Amino acid sequence: MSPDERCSLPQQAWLLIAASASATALAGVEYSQTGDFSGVFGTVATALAIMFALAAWFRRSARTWSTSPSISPLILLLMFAPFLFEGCVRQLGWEPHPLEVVLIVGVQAVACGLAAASVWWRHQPLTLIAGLFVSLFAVTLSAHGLTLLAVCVFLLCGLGWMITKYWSTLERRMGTRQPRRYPWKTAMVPIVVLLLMTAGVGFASTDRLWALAGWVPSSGGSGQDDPAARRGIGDGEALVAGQDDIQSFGPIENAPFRTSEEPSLYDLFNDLYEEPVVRNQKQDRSIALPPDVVQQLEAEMAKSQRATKEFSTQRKSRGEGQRGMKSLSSEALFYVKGRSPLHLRQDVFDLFDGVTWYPVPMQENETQPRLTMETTGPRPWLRWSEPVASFEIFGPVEPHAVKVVHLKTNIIPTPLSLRGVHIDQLDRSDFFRWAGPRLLQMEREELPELTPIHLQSQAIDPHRLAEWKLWGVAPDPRSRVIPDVPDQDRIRALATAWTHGVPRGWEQIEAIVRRLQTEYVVDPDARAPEDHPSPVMYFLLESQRGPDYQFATAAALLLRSLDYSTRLVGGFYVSPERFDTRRQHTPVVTADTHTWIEVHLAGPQWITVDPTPGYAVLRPPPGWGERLLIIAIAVGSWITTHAVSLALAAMCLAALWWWRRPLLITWAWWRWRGFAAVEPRQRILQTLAFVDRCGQLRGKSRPPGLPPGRWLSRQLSNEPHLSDEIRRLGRLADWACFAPAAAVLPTSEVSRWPQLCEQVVAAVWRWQPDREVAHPPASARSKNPPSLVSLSMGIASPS
Amino acid sequence: MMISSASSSPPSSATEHRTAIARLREFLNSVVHGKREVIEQVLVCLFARGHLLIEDKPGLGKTTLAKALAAAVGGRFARVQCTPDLLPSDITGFNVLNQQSMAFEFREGPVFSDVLLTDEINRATPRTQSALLEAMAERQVTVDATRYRLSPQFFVIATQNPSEQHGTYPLPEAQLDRFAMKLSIGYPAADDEQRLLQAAIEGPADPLELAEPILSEDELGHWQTHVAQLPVATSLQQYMVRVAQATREHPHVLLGVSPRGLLVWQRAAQARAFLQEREYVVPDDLQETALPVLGVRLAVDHDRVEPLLHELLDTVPLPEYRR
Repeated sequence: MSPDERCSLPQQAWLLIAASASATALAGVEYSQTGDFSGVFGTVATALAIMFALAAWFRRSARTWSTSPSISPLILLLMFAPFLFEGCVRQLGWEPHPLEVVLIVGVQAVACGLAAASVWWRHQPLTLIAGLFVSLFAVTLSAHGLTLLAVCVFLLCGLGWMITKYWSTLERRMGTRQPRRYPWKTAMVPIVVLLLMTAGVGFASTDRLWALAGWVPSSGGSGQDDPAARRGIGDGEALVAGQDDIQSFGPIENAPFRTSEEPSLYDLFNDLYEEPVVRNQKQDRSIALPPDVVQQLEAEMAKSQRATKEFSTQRKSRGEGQRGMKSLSSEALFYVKGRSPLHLRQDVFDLFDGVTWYPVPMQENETQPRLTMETTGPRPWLRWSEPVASFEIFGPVEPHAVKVVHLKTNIIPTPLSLRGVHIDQLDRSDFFRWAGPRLLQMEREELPELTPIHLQSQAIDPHRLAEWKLWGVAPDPRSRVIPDVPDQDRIRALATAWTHGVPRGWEQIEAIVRRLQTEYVVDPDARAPEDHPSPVMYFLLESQRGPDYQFATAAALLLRSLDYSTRLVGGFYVSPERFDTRRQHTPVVTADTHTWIEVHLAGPQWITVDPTPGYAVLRPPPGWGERLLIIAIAVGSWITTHAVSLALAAMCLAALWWWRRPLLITWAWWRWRGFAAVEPRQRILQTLAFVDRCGQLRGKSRPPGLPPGRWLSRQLSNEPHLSDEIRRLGRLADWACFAPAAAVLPTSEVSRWPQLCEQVVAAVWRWQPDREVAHPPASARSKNPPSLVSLSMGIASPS
Repeated sequence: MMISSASSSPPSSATEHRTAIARLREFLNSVVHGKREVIEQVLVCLFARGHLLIEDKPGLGKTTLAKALAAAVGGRFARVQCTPDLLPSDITGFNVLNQQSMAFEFREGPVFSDVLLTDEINRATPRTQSALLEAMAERQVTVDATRYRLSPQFFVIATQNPSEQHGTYPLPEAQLDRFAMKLSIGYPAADDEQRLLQAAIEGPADPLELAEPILSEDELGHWQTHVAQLPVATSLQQYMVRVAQATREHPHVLLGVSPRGLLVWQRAAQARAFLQEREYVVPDDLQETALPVLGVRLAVDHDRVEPLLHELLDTVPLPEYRR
């Protein structure tokens, strides 16, 4: 057989490792689905062992074969092996595998078969193509760390294979061995990128990583129903239910509206915050308001109380036998698609009596923007006209979508600056009405379940509020009431102290919020004593810990004392922590019920402010420059917090790099010393390998066409006393490598060769390519290696 | 012999051959002063059973070397001075009519010797040169449809003068391929030249007349057979093939090394290993014989052969030193 048909061992090694990597990637997919580690990887390990054994056998046997065998058809038959196996599995009633997995296992089997026969050139490209196909399939199906790592290994091996293939082709065409200059520096770029991506997959936040998936459009389903199929669009029964996947927005846009007799949203508040304390003693209320509005406010308060929709800030402690939050949060109330964090409003309270917040019911004569339907393309959008305070403070219009599952209310959870609402096929505006300040409700008992409600809103950019001078210019008197609570003056004093020297406006609001967020502690179970006259004063002045509504109440009162109009808002906080990476949406559960405040800007415009630590408010999407800045700040912050560790790591890396050659030579020396072969030929070749390695590491590699004896005598020409030893080593190396097996060691060397090896290794050890050596060889015969410092001194730069 | 191995020669003959070769080397060095390397290659060519082409200027000892070699191996020596009017039959021999028996008798030419010195071979016509072809390649001549065998140790030393090209017929590639090696003797060093002058005064008038044969024809044949059986590692043969391929694919080489050239190279390496008292071939043997063996076979300008071969030997990788 022509040697050209066979490949070199390194090339075959690249290929075998690549095939193993693709098989491991596929195993990672199966493992992530089944969790059967021993079963999956045991099978793969067995198959790979067979592949390596066959590859070794082919490689050994190919030398003696005159022609290469035509085994490609037999290898292609391996494609059907998984189908036979799957047939048996299904006949036996075991758990079936999806068809695509069986098919891809067949492709992998062919890849392994071809890799086993990869000693011949012609099998190699197809092996890599099949492996690449399997790797792409695996990485598409599974984000398991092992799969990603295996795919990275596959890519690196493919790169190595291409490099060696390039050299081999060049050498076959030119007929000479070209000086091999591996593009390590260039190759380091993709390698580093791959490693960073792998590290990113492993350590970055999963939510943010998978948020990138939205860049790639996806097609619809196939419409087929396979009981063994995974959950997804168009496959399986999960589509019909559509309860846990907001991705099914499209197919069920026209889901039927359903009605329910379930209790309203307020039960959720009671579930979360426990029952309010019913106090028997009456409290005198004295509202510091102008006389002309007192009557109106009292009437509104009475109406609110009749409506039993007030929100008390004095609530019972959590009991032992009560239902835990875990069971409540186990099921999503609704799903939200779009950017988070997001504050979805459900109710607004703006009258506070010191203990309880009261929602302001709609006045019959109050003018609300008129709701109209506007058809944009095929979609009808609910719109209304309202004066916008300033376009400059708003970000772009952003889409969100809400799909209700268990939310028993007819108030649509919406963000503050809502601009439009759309439900598929619903083109009548009389289905909606205003339920409060920018609160929309549907003219139904409940929101339609499993029907996506599309929202358009605009976030306010607080950075653009720096020049805002209209705070409190059009104040709503209801939202500026400070209740007559004990130590009322202390609130004002506190607010004044916290904002001392801070100009009026957003900076003051930020100062208040910052103080609350940094000096107070969130404790959902903290409660004021039941006999305390004002829980918020207890929170603010004594305990400094409490649930989110105390933060909101305190912030509202503090800001009111500084003449800002504020109101309390109850609703849901769409937490980015809950973002579902696979389904690209955020479930909202009962535990996400939250309370925050809104501060009046001007006209009908308010701004969301969340004083509770750990909660963020949605801001307009950052531009690219701002994103880069955020990333840079995050990286800088991370570097700052890990400065010591990073500095140590950098120093260690720098030291390793600086002393890499001495270290590698030391390692080679220990290997030569520790794994000494007994058989003379092997030991002599080990010595020769050590000499070659030292030459490489000192930038004096042996030229490919120069025998080692001649090369060494040139390199160690400054040690003439060793010329005889070098010549002897060269002769022994020739004997070890090229003499027939029957040729025994020369009798003159029988007892001297171990000493010879020691002498040459010691000489090479202290070899200084660019310096003259004046030391006698006495120390060189020591069996102890020189110290690292002395070694490093002896290693000069290749230049 | 340092290393005992399976070989065709009996162990007792190892010492003999070492002694004989040392004497042969010493004798040739005593005749041609200061040319140890050239003499070593001549010995390689002799034991490899190849023919030698010496290309050098007149008066550098080409003929002396050939005559000394013939004297040392104890064979018959013949010399042909090539001129344009030299006929093939002047070399091979011819049939003459015996007046007494009235039958044609074959009269042997100079090729029926053990060592044939063909002086200034490039002055002979191509027809005459080709007559040598059969004799060199097959050690036989055919005259009037009758085949005559030559001595098994038939060894041709041809010389040519590179400087005088007027009125010459350069050897064709086919004939060059018949030579195992092409060597240049070159001028001796100053000290050697002075010793040469001194030896002409103090030494015998013709040292070759007093010389006793060092190797008999049978001994030479025996050792030549032994050389041909020395083992060569597979990895080294692959290396030789790579070098040959490199010469064939090199852009500056019109005609690369032929398979016959490879065989000659291997034989030369075996002979060098034998002369180095080794029973196996090592990379040094191949590289030391590469220049004279391969140089004669490459269709390259004369002055570019050596650098080109050095380039090839530097770049074609040696076999890995591992088992």
